[in-house]
Amino acid sequence: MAEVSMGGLNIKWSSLSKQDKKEYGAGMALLTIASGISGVILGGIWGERILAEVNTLEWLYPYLYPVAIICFFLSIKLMTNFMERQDEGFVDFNTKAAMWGVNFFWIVGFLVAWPLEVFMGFDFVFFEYFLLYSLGISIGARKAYKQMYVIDINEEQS
Amino acid sequence: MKNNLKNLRDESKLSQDAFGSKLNVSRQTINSIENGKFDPSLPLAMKIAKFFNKKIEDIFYTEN
Repeated sequence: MAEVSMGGLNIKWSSLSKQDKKEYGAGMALLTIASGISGVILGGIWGERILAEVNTLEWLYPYLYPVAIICFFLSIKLMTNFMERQDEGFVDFNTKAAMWGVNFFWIVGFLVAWPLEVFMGFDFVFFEYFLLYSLGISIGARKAYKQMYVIDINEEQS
Repeated sequence: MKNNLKNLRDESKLSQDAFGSKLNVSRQTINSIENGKFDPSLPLAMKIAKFFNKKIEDIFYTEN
């Protein structure tokens, strides 16, 4: 059964079964590819921000969208399979962290980032909104860990 | 929700890890249940009660 480590920010690799490692590892790899393509390339980081010139690879975009979408859905399938095998404590922990991510994303995104973009002319791209979600999940994971497991540090195993 | 899971587990001389393996849950989940940080679902509570051959209300109870 999967356990969390690093204060809730990671999964203890040794606690995973062989099948868990395979599906979680492949799921994360695909999710990284999908995020890389959609966030960095399609999301606005690649291009003028990095190259300081008009992106000459725009012709590639129509081909990259399907790759990102397929990788994303495959990773969701693998991660769902992985989560279905885990116990309710682990699922509860992840649900709490994800809810924090979602709430942090829409509150900060809607109340801070979006008005800055619309009224102040800031140029936020998809990638930066994704960072908000990631930051929210990290804060949520820390909070859920403290709430559920912090006593674990001093708890004897017997 | 409070419980006397730790006492029962100690009586059975099982570690959190070993007890978790028998119920197919992780050591961390057993730990958080014992410390009242996580309330188990009804199926898991029934599994625990069945394991100790007790009623659910003999293991889990409210403060009042």
